[in-house]
Amino acid sequence: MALLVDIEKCFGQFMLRVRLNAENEVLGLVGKSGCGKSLTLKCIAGIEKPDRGKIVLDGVTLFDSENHVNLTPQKRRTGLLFQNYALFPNMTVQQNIRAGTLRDQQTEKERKRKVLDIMESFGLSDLAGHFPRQLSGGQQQRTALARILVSEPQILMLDEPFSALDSELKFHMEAEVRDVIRRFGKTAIFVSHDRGEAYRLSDRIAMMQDGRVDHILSKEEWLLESNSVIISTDSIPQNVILVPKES
Amino acid sequence: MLDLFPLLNSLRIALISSIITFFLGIFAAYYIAKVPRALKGILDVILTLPLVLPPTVVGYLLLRILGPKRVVGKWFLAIFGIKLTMTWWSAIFATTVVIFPLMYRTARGAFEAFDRTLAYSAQSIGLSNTYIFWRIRMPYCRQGILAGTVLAFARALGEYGATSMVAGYTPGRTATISTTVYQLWRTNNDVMAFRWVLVNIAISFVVLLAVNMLEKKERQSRKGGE
Repeated sequence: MALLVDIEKCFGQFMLRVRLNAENEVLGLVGKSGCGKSLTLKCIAGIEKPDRGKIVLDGVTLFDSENHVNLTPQKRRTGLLFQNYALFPNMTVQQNIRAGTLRDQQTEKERKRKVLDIMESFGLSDLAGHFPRQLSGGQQQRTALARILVSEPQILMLDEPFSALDSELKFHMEAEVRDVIRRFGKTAIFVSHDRGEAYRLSDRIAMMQDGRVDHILSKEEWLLESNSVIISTDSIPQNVILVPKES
Repeated sequence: MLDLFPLLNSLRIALISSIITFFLGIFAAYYIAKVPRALKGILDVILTLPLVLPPTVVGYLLLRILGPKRVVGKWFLAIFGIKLTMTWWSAIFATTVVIFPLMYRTARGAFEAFDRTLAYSAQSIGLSNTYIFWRIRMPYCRQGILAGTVLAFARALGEYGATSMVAGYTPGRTATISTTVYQLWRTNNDVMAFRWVLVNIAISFVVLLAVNMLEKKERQSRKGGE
């Protein structure tokens, strides 16, 4: 369950140059907005096409400019959670999640069971008939995650998953998402501009600056490099807060 | 008693050309969004031209192509023995070209407002592009596209210039409401002309009312979706 990315993409003045690898872990991709984090995820998902390079997931080449390999997003099995969750507004919670089961051949009975099971585990059963606009931010996020997981991706990619939530809900959803990632058990990439959030959720962290990722740091190395210290009142990981050393 | 042929003829011409334009307009709007910018600019101008050209110019150009002595018209006459002009369905060519830009531009506007992350997330969970188009993109843009279709239908119903050149005016065969009004007025039959004018206004009124209601509904559903 390994991901290998080595790509380049030019956008006028902006140059994306990403080299990273991840294996059965949560990789935090941290950087300021506009530094190319979301673009990196889109390249892995096949929504944007890099100019040069290679992307390999679990031994399957998703993209290879030299050998002209460029799998469609449908064939890549990369579960990408968008900032706005991208729920289909014309479908109910249940229909949205069912859409995630359509990729693979299976009977309608199997589909229904999978959808009902995952709605149960995400606490969405009572909301099955609701439309996205009738849901709270947290419920929308759960629906979007359920829809992705039911499609059985090989990697989970979360693009600033808490940016659309208010601070109290953010805290709650962070714990939920940590749980979801743990149950998922494969590689996950978590994009954030919030260092504390990244520290709490990730195993290793890649710093992204002006479109470049060169190396990946362990959390300890990253603390040193980003010149931050941990403030924590107890041992609950949720309560870890990072602050710059000066303060 | 009013001979209802012009009404029925107008309605069938408008209906058929609206259906044709519905697919052509959506098809053009969808694919032109994907072509390189320079080409897009040129194609956009060409496809919008019939909106600003006088319908007589459209009619003239159509006759240059479909007339029995012209390229396409000659070929059809030779192969199928069918004359493409001066029949009731000749008017369909005329109205289709004239109303096409209305459908194309409204569909394009609706597609531009489409949230692309919906298509991206759908692709990444494995949904086919056909599924995305019909089950996600079209429902999302439904009201805009429907409003465009109704507007195109209304315009088709009122088409005169190109229709009169390509289909002519033959009572009981190619007469439409608009050509009938002209013919009745020309022959000093003011009473009958006025009746048809009222019929035309009534239909257009209902259709435009429908467009307004659809647009209002669209604005409301946009608000609700946020």
